[in-house]
Amino acid sequence: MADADSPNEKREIVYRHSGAVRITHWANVVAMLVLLMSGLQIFNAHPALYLGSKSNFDDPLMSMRPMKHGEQVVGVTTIAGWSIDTTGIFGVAYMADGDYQVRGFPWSVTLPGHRDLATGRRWHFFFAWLFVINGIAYLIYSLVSGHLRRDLAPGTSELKHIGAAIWEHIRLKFPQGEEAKRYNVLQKLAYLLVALILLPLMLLTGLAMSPGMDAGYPFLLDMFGGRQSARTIHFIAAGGIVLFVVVHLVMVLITGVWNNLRSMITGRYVIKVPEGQS
Amino acid sequence: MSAKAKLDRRGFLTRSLAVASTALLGGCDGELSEQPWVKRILDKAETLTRVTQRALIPADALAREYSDADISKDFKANGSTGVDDDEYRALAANGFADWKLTVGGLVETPLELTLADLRAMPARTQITRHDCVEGWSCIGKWTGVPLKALLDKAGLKPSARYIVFYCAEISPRPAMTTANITSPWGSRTRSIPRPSLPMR
Repeated sequence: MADADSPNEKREIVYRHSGAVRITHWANVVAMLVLLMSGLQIFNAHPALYLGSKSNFDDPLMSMRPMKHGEQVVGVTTIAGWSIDTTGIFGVAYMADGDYQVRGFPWSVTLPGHRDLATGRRWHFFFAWLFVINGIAYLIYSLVSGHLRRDLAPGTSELKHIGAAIWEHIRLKFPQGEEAKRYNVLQKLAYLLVALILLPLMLLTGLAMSPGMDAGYPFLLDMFGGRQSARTIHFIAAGGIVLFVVVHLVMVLITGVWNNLRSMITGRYVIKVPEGQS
Repeated sequence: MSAKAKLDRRGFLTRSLAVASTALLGGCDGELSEQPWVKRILDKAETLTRVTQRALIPADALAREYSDADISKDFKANGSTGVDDDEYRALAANGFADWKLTVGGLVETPLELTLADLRAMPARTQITRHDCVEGWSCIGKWTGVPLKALLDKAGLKPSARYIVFYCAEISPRPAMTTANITSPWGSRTRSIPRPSLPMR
């Protein structure tokens, strides 16, 4: 099949994503979205982070709070002693009538969309179960089917040429033809980092915040340096996942949004193979 | 595929899309979280969590104890520091000498205990972490009669499943299951703070 735009290329359809990968991918999208939004609702109940076992209210590692600036109440975000005025975004938001609201993240990004910790927690724990069951199904599938070893584990030669891969990505030059059939080394490392480190870290730090689990499994506290540290790591790892999703979506957009979307829905991915290479 | 099945599928897709887009628009979701069917579904996870925790956490697991050096210098007030209630103010003015703890419901012997009665019972002191549902934690030193001792005195009926605490403040009435209390875990995590501590 010849491509109309480039006569020297032919299109080849490859089966890129198995059914299990596609289903667990989309289930994860739903779970992560609800977990993020309900997580911000929970964070808003006390928009500050600490290190150690307890909350040192005078010296949080990070906080979003109201402060008096002369006569005006402003929202101040503090990170490791550095404070910036974030009125309207974090800490304090003014409404049309001149009245103001004290809150961490805007209610437009939380679930529910107004202060309701109890309901936020219900959403969070329901979708945490979906996330855990889905994640375990994915990991078992990846191990048993060879997906992890075959598609995700980078080879030694790939790791040796990681510098070249980074340079190509910086110039927005992405693998074509045969090379595009497989994940490239940066993709592999990013997926492994998320699937094997960040997501399990979310689960473990989440469990470390449960007083009951702490009683039964005190190593959860020691692992992260106390319950408040676990909460902080939970927040930072969530930020890491958001960062991954942003990069992931940008890559999906610039490497062919329809082709990528189709491959994650039907499994079929179109690659352009230069003539003579088949 | 029959026309009906097609329609159902379309209905399902429309509904899924509606749910997904409503969830996306957190700012306008007010209705979604209020839907009885949504609450029913979300509640299923609460049951799953409770059953799993019961299975995973050993019944005799105790909350971690800390040292004096770990005690929070500034223990945040959980709720209000003063109760806006005349009866409470009268009790407080008299050092709670007229106050009585009522233990009722599904018990063999309903109890009415004064502060002096409680202080005459064996007490336990512990330094444990208080985890607020809001997310913060403070470490405090607590002294009081283990709850298990009180419940043994009252004699829990086998049919009792939950215990509800009535506070001077109207709003917080946390319930806990009897399984948590009758285990040593319950007695350590939930001893009764002595009123000589600032009432929180």
